[in-house]
Amino acid sequence: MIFLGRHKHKSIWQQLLLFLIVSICLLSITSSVTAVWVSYNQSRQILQQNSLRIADNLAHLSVLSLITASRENAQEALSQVLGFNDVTGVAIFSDKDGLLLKQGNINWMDSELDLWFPIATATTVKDTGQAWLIAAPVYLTNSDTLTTDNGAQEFSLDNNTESLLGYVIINVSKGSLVKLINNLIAYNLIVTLIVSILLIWLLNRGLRHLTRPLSKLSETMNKAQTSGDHLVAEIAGPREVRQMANSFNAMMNSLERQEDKLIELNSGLESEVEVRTRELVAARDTALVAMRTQSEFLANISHELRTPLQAVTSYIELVIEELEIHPDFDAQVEDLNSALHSSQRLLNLINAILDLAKCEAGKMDLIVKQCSLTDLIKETENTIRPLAAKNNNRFITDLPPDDIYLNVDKEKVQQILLNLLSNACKFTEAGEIVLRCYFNESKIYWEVSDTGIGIPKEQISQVFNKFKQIDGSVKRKYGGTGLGLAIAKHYAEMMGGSIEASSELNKGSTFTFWLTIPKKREY
Amino acid sequence: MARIKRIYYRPKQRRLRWPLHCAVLCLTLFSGALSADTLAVVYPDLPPPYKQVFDQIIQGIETEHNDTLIKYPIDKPIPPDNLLQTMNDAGVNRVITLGRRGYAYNNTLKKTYFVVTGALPIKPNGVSGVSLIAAPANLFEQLRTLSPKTRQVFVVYTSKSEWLIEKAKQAAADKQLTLIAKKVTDLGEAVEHYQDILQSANSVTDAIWLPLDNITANENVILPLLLRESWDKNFVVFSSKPGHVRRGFLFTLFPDNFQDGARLAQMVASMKAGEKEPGVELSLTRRVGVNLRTASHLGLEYSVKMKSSFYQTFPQSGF
Repeated sequence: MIFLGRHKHKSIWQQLLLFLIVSICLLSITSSVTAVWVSYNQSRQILQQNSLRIADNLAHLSVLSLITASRENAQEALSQVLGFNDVTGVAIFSDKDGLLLKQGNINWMDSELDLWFPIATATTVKDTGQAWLIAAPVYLTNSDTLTTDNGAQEFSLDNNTESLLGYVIINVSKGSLVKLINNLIAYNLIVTLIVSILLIWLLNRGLRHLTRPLSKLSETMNKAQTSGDHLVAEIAGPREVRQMANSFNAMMNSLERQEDKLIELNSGLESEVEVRTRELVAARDTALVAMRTQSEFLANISHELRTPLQAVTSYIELVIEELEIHPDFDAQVEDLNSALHSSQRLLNLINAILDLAKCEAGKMDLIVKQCSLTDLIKETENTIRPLAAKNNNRFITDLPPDDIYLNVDKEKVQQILLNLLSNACKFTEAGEIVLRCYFNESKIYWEVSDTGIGIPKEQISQVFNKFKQIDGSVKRKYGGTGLGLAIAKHYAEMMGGSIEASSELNKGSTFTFWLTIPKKREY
Repeated sequence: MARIKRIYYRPKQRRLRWPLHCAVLCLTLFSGALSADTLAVVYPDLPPPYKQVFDQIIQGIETEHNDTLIKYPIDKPIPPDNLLQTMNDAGVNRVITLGRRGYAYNNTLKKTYFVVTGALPIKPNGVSGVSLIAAPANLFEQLRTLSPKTRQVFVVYTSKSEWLIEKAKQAAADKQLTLIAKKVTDLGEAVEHYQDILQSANSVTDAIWLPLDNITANENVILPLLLRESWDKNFVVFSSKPGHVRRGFLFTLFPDNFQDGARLAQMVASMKAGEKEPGVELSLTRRVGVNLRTASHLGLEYSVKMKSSFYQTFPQSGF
């Protein structure tokens, strides 16, 4: 499995073939090794048993030579045994007189003889790796080998006796065994190789044939994936592959139907979106036109109103100046002052409407210049301080220790601050008004807080709407156009900043105005 | 304790006389101790073909013993005293022991009964009976018949066969044969003498006799030597051991079991009658077994009549 795991990218046919090749190789090697091992052991056993029998036979043949102590008789026995291929040396020992005769290639040390003998039966006394030395005892028996059963013994008074005459040793070469094993290994390897090649060839063909439907299905799937077409697979091959092909075809058909439906829906949706977009564009254009028209109307009407009002104001001032010289007209002067005051309020209102209309019509321009923050605050403070004193308010400024130069529209920033501070002075009596300026990251903040009447929570979101004061009573009591905060908000947003308000009823309000400034600060 | 099978024998002539038969049977059973002639035969209980040998001997005994005969086939060894007690109870007064298992009880039984032994190559050493060893006279008689040109017989023996050689010398002289006997002490000496004989003897007029001797007729050394040499040099070799003819010697005498059985019955009867112990008698068998292939190799030809008189011939068909 580990082996196959490394070949995941290969096809199923290749993996199967690889697995079977490895299995066949393992099987072939195992069977060959087993066959050779079994054959070797059997041949070894047979050779050893045959050698033991040869030694026994030699012992039997050597009886006469040992009885007669005759080398000639021994020669005859030895020559018979040396005729065997594997027997390369033979020796006969008398139990009494030692070595009787030795022939061929056989060697031993005298000390070994004491270790080897006595033995009761034919035994392998030494294994040199190349040969076995097999010894057998030579016994003289008086029994008839043909009549040794119990029945025959009943007719004899003699007991079977055995007397040891000596030993024989034969040297049995393992050459033929080694040759046999070498041949076995060679033949096994050749046969295994041929059979393995044939099997692999057969398996290759068989597996290719078996996995062809699967490969075709896979190819079709792959083509469908890369092309995006809804291809139909051929239904052929084994049951499982046919089932897969059927499922794939069903899936493709389903996908095709769904895609058709989707295209249909999409085209409907597109046309609807187009209609809606047209309607929206028309509505937007209408709204823009209406807004521009409104602003233009407001600008025009304000201009037209301001010009005669300016003339009225000038003439009233002129008449007041002439009448002040004569003490009899003090009452008229007082009435004229009231008229002048109302005219100026009306002029302020018209100016404010004009500014707001400009902003909304996009005609308000920014005049950005470098200015000192300290100067800006100081000028604002000079303007506001009398207003604050009017209602017995204490005005406090909290500025950064170092001055900073800002690239802003100074007039508009000052206008914003004056609007916020004048509101604070207006709605606070005998309280405290604080202007705090600070930096945070890349922003500069102006925070105007007071201890005035505050704004109810539900109305705080509407304070920046034009012509909006919290209620009619407030308007009547404090006066004002209700456009100051709306204009301030417009100005702040024009400069890339904003104004936020927070308040608590009867405790005071806080308006925070902020602008984004460049990171590089110059002092 | 091993089982002892008792088989009571009743003579044939009485079998048809049923009333009398029953009376005699009752008398045998209940008054066995009073019977005068109750013979016990102790023999090995063996499977065929050995069983037939003892059956034939017992048949021979039956021809000479007309009274009660009790068989004691011995399957497994039993204590001699138990056997003795059983025989006493059965009223046995004479015993024939056969084979090696029967012979094992001789020492116990002969203290009480008259005992003779058969089916063994016994020698004269205090026992009486018929030996399996064929009488040399009969051997030489067959030699003269089967190899008429033979005048001289060589024999190599040990002290164990000395008693036989004395008898053989006399028998050879009676058959106009010269017996040249050489006594040896061991196998090496025997081989040496046989080689001398084979070197010096005349294959036409000389023959070699193998007695029943496990040194001078050693199965593993002497037999192969003599078989090879006698075949090469056309020597007549005959043996006292029946099995040797099968292996290639010219002839031998097979025991006549029936005859030996009858003789054993006579011997034990004579002992009971008060005669002196007969000692060991040689088998007087004339049942000759001839190896015709060896005879043919030696140039000996026998007439059909002669062949038909042979007890057995070798090689046998099917071998």
